Amino acid sequence: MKPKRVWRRKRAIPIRIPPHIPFLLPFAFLVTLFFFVPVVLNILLAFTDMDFAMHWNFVGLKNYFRFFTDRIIPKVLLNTVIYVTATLAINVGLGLVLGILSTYYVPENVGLLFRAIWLLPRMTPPVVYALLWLWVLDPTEYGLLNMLIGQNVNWTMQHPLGVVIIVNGMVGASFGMIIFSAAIKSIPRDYIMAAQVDGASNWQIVRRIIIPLLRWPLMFVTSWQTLSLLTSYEYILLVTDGGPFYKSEVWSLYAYHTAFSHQLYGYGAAIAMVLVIVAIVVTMIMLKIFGFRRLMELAGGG
Amino acid sequence: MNRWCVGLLIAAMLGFAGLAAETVEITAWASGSPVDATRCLNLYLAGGYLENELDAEGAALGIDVTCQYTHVEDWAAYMRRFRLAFEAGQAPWIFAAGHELIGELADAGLIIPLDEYYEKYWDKYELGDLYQPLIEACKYQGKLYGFPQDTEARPVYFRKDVLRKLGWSEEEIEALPEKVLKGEFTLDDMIAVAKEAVEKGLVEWGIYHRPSPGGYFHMITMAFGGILQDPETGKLVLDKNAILKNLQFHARLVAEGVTPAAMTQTSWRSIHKAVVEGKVLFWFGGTWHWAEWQRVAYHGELGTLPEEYEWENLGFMLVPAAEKGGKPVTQSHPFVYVVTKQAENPELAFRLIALTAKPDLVAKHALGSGHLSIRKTNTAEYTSWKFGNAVTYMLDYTTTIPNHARWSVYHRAVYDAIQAVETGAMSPKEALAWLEDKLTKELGDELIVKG
Repeated sequence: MKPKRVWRRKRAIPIRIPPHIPFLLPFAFLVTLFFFVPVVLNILLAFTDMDFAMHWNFVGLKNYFRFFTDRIIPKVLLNTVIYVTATLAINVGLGLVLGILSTYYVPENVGLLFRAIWLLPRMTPPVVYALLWLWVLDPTEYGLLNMLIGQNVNWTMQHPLGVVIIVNGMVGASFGMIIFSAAIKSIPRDYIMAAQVDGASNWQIVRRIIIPLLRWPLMFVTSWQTLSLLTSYEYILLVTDGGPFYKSEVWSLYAYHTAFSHQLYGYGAAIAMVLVIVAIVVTMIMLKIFGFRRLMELAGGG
Repeated sequence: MNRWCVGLLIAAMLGFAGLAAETVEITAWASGSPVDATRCLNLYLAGGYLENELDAEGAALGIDVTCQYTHVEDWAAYMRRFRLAFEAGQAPWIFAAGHELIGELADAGLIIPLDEYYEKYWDKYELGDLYQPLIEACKYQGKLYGFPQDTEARPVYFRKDVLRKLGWSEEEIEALPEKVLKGEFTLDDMIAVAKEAVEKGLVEWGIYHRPSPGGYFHMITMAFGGILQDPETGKLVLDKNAILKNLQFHARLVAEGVTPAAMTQTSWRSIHKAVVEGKVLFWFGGTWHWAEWQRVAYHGELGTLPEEYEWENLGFMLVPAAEKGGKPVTQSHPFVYVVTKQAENPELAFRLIALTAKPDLVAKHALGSGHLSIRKTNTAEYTSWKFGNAVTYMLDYTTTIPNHARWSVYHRAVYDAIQAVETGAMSPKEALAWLEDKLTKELGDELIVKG
């Protein structure tokens, strides 16, 4: 038998691509293009006095000095604190109530319908959702709310921040509701049944079993929502546009207005940069408080 | 046979290609209220004239105009859109905007000076017949960057039916514009009448003004004797005395209960509805509203207003003087066409916009949109236009806003300050201090603080 001819290639130094790299590449590309590049551009932009003319005119720290002497900033910061805290309370609190109601207290199919209804604003385009609110809050006698109470109140003018909180709270609560209801469903039924056998009331079950077991979802929803509230402004832009006279202007919206309404791109970028730093600090504090490390250990099977 | 077919096909294709190469596509953006679409339409019509001219000159060139019309309520957003289109290389050849934006556009290097074309075509297009101040309004740093499109006056409209119910005789009502002209009826008197009408329950509100940044807010500064720009240096001026009076005027409108504190939060539509339905006595409007009410259905029952209804129920006057015997004012806001740097053939673009100044096209736009003619010689249709004739005298009392590269900053800040006093967020003095702080920081050397 003739020995088989074996074609041997010249032995090259093998380049071993770890198997996960091809999977990561598309994401790495997208993250670089849509996150890192804009971040770098924004950092650079914050050192320029770019305006409508769009010239890269570097001015050092001028924008940051201006940030600290801007008379509107204290108002905007206070608004942001009130807005984020109050909306967060609604998002998490209402989300929790809805989650428990729709999974524990009512039958499965009713809960499903209930959750679907609460998800509607989430599925509606923001512009449509905001328009619906504007009809509800219309200052004339044709406004739904005014029809109900029988007098003409100009809601967006008299309570701009309150309006903004409710509008965002209503749409945000559904996020918590979904996470919490999924988490509640994953609680083994035995715990609840055992408690029922022992004669625990519904309230005791919620208080002693469900809520303690929701610790991680609670942490996740709270930190996620805090960050998203700090940086999102689309509903405020659509409902009050930050007005009247900055009464409902929050930090991210102020950055937007400065850059795009007043066409001060450099200063707008600086305002956004400070916000990014604050957001990072807030995140670190939250993770520390909630014990993020322990969560990671748990996830790793520890 | 086959060869012949292929040959013919190639010849035909070359022929089409040749024809296609001889058509120039001129792109344009125009904007304004719902009745200003003639700003685009006239460009299409001028395209026809230009084609004829080129034919006569022996240059067989087709002109294909593509114009995009936007009904604008937020000018800052419209400018931003143009800015970004330019950056993306998608800017039109021709852009229509308020004359005051020339400074900003020229400074950013987005538009080109048109002096050489003005000179070349001065006689051909009879440009000497245009009102000189309108051409002046196109000037920035000594160069002409725009071509006048229209102008107008901003009168105060009043409801005659409400005045009748207040017990005014027809003679008194008809004499009101004249009294304003002579300085006998002042802003104070206007507030007093408005207050009386509100207290008697004849109207819901006494006085309405526009809800978004606009020339009106500066017109009031000028009514109080202020200036906006230093004539010597061209720098913007913060005339503290006049601005304080302006802020106090608006604070007073709200305090007296004649203007809603949420005026700046009211939609244009509900403002027009209230004016045409007689739910508000005075309206700081513009001549174009006369045409807008005839074409847009704001009235709950009547829909669009017949012109006879307007003459019967609506009067118009200059903005009353601030003090007895003082001078009334109004404001013109010449709209202009500019040629952008991305225009491939700026000369053709200039010729196209110059042709929109032909009397027939000017008349078409004026009558259709309630704007005034930019030229002295007009068609019979224009000269016999009742409303146009009735408001033309106002141009003798008119003012304009400055051409300055940083005008938008000043413009927006004054509006914000007025919103602050009306909504009670600040007192007039606090608002003035805020305004001074903001403008000195943002405009630096480009601002002169006066008083």
